[in-house]
Amino acid sequence: MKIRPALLASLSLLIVQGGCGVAMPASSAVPARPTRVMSLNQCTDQLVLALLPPERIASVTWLSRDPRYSAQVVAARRVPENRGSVEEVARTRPDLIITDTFSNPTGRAMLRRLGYPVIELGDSSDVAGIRRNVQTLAQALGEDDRGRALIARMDRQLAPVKLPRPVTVSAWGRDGMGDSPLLTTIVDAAGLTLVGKQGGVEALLRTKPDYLIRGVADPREGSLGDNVSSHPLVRRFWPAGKRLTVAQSATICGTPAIGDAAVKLRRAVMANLTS
Amino acid sequence: MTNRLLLILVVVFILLSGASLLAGSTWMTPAQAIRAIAAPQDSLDRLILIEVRMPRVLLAILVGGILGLSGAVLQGLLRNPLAEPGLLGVSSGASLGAVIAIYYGFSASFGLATPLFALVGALLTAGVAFALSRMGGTLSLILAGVAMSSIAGAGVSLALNLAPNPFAAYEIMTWLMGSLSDRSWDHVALAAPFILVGAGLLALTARALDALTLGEAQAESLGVQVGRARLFALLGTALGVGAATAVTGAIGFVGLIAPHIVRPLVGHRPGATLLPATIAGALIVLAADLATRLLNFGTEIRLGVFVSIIGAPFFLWLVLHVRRTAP
Repeated sequence: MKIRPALLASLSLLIVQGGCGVAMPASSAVPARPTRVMSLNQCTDQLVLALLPPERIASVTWLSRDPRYSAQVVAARRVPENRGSVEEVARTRPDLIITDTFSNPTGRAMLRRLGYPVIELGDSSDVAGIRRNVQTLAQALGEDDRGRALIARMDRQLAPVKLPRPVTVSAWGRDGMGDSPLLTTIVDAAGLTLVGKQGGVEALLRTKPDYLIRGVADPREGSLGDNVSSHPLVRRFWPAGKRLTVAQSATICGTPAIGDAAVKLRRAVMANLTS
Repeated sequence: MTNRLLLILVVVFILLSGASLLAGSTWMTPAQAIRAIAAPQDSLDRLILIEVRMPRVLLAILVGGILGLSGAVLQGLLRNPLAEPGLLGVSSGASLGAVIAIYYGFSASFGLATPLFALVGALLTAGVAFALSRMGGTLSLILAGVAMSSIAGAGVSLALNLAPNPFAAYEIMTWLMGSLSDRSWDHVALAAPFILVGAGLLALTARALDALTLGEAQAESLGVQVGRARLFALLGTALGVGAATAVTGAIGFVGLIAPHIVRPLVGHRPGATLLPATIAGALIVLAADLATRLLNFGTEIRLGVFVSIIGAPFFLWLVLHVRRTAP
């Protein structure tokens, strides 16, 4: 049972390599101002939805309508949805396909083989990566100004602030303490200091942060989900008032949404400090 | 021989348990640890020792012990050197139960849902395996167990396949890898009663196991109730290993290896392997848990993964060895 996913992964790798081995027809040219853009990945959805008006989007994935993973729910509900399959691409006939560099390798290989215009955006796990992705995509979509505005807004939101007194936090998840680059960026921008990068309850007790911070899928889930990683000692030293949350939708993909998350977190900390 | 072996095992056991209490995010010296525990007021060291490390060590002992014991009993009962608790579907049943709890979000609404569901899953699969095998003998018990194990495994795969989101899938996968980190006294309180009752039932089969080496018919003629021994072995395994899997996740190979380590030293009498195998199982899990804390690869190596990396080559060796020595 445990071996099966690995086996599948290696199989799919074989298929991709087989696909790459055959001579591929050159992709048809990317239009200067695409008007039927289809995004096949939840992370690229976020950027496409932020950069384009709904009438120029052919479809985005169904995941972008889910507030647990998407910071662009409202925009996503205005455009059709897809499930990321090649068949849907063939039926939709988009003039540009946006996807990432790691998901559904066989599907992407097939799209290339069939000569669809595809742009693959790499995973962006830091601010530089986000800027690069937004720029690349904005250029391809003919929306340079919109792209620059998005980046400028994110940079403004991420400009560090100084809190009245130093406040330390640890990211506390189901695997103990952690430090994802995006969460660290959000925490830094909110003026907090992330302490403790790794370890369980024991390391947390020694680190003694002022607050625990955790990514939550749904604001309502917050208190319930906390139970999962709760140890009696963690509950004792960091009760509900000593916990901060960051929306999971902001850290799941590298997008300018981290700016909004930083602003929200800063407000929550200020409210806690003044009360 | 047996007595000296037991003495050595117990000494190693005490040393390892002690080391396990002192090791962690920071090492404590024995003097520090004793001072912290003796101190009347709560210090950080005292909290860490009592609330974090002690439950972990105790669980490692209980879980390793019951795995080793049930492995020894099952290998004797089924007269098969490759028998282990996983063979009867207990581990996969527990895994399926836990996965259902995680999958449907029960684990999010109350913390002990995962272990409770796992326990129910273990009892159900073992119960069905036993019911199916009641008519036949030992072989039908193995076959029914393998079938139940496959069914539960398929259920786990299905849950992973249908997982509502990548996080649920991730959580299921990490739970299946098995771990002892950050377990609290709640987990000990949940698992210990079942593990102890299970161990008691398993220990009662010792005499029957010795008689069974002569064959089932011969054992019956010696006045051994083979059916009762089988019931005790299965119920004990389901309760004990089910509870163990419930709090730690799936940890394989311990039940397989522990009896083999001690068997040559006790003269191949199944009944005599039970106690040494129990201690050996506890030693394996204690050592592995200690190793996962000391080896730092940036991400914690899960206990179940570590044990399988050591255990799988051993299993291979065992298969080759059995083939070589078999008549």
